[in-house]
Amino acid sequence: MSSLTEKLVTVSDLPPQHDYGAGGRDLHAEPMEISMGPQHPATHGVLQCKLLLDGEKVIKIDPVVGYLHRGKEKHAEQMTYQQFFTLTDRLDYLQPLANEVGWALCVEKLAGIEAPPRAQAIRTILCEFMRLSAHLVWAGIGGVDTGAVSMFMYAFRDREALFDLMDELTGLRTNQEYLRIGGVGADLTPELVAKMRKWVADFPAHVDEFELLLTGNRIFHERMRGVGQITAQQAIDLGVTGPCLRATGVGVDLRRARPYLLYPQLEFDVPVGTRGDAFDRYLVRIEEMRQSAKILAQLLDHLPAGDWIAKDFKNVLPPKGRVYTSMEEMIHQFKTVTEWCPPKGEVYLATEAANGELGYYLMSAGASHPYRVKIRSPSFINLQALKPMTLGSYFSDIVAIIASLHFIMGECDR
Amino acid sequence: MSPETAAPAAPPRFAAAVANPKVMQRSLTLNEKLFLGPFLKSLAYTFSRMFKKDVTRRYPEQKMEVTPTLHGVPVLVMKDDGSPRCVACGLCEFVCPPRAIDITPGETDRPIEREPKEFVIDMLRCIECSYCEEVCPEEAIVMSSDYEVVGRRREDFVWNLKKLLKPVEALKARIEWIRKTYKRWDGAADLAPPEGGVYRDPRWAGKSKPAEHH
Repeated sequence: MSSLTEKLVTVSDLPPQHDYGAGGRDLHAEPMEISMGPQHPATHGVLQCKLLLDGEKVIKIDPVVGYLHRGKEKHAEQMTYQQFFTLTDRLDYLQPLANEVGWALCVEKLAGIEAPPRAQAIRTILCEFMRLSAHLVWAGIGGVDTGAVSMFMYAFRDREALFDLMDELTGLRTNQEYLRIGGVGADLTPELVAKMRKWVADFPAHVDEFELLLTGNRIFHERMRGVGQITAQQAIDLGVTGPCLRATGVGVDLRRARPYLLYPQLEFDVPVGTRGDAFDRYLVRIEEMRQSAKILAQLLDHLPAGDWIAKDFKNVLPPKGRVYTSMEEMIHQFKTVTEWCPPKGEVYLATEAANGELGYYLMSAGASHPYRVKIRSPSFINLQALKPMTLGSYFSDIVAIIASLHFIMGECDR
Repeated sequence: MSPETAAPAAPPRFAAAVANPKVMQRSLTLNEKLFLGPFLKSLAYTFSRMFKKDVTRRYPEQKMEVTPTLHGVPVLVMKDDGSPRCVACGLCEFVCPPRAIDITPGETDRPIEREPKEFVIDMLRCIECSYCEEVCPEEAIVMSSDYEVVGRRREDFVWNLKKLLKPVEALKARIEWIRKTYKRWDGAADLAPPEGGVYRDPRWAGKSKPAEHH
């Protein structure tokens, strides 16, 4: 057998300190094998966990991924750069626009295009709104998973209002195909900015309400505290990023570490945890919601004026009025849509998505479609931490751990 | 070595290593341990929501407010004489990410010379991304405000030319929105091509374009 094949752990293999409260007697000689998922309400999508249980204790866990595999990376090789935006939307479907921003920045870096300041500000706003959208789902579903069902209603109340804003901006509630290479698809109107500002002003009070319902609640406390604990070193070794890494005390946030868009000019904190357990991941995300609201307030108050898409007719579509009347612009319209490409080369660009480092590796052979696209999805890599977090804990803790890790299977399986 | 001449400290590996506020866990207070106090507090909070304004909509009776930005299903614009504006150039067919559009071009005696003999959009495939509308050089395909597409069979969702054609009046708001949004810098003085009448692409300066393009 290869060394990669893992030996099945049985109770007799475990060190003697694993007593399981049996008082030295071997009550459960036969471990029980259980398959959790892929259609389990608590596994957040189609994750299957093959569990080996000794009584209520988990002695082995094998996450099985791939049930939602759609071959996006391969699809990209047959799509134009603009068309691939529609697939990036469906990676982490809780934050479609943040995925689009990552792809847009990656393509623009290779093509040497820079979006105008207003477009960059709009993109930053969208990134933060999408972080809130993802964290709100996490708060709602995480509440349901740990028994606080009413949390779902309050989190989704805010998320629906957020989607109304996105609807007004992009025309679609989710999977908005809004970003363009060189900018965004439409302008942010002053009326919408006013509505966004109102939403952002109301939001911190709503986060306090979430805390009222969860933080001091004894049931929630006991479900989350000390559960799924990993050390900073373990998290780094496993490649965990995002709130799950920051909960272990490592203050790495790509918005600070490798700044992109307007983040260097913004004032915000990167909260870190102290223990690295599920409750810390909860606290870090709650604090991140407040920080996102702070960032949004700064951006909405100082939105730069100007163009919302680059004035670069080799890379973006020419003005429509000219396309109807002038042959030159008509040809550019056709050429840009069908043949636009960045020069030969390769690039990797990562942004800080709600779950961690969302990176795109893009290789261009100078054709109208990418030669190779690789997506570094934070959900997939964070999922590796499930094993060290879960081993030795109770069966019902798995639900709380999955809720606190908050991986999205659409992004994990790609 | 004085502090001035000392080699500068190595920059932190991550700029974020400076001062991150810690979120501290706290133990439960006695009140929280007894559970009943916070429990009643959150119950009171939940009950107080009953007297607030509804945030939901009673959907079939109470419809969503339709704005010109809304992406409904794409439809074709009909001229006053009942013919489509479409000239069957096939750009929307090319750009459609889920390949929902299928055009059969044909000749016509009208001045446009070319028109779609058949134009089919599979609404089951359509993702309402509006790329077709954005690339259309004739303002012939636009997103309608119709977001409720229903049918009993799969065939009901495959819309042909006859079903897709909609009069201009029904699509007025959206067409105005297109003209406003995609106008961009139309009419700006610096829009004219630079000297020589060609746009220069800085990316290809000193390089020959890849062969795939010629």
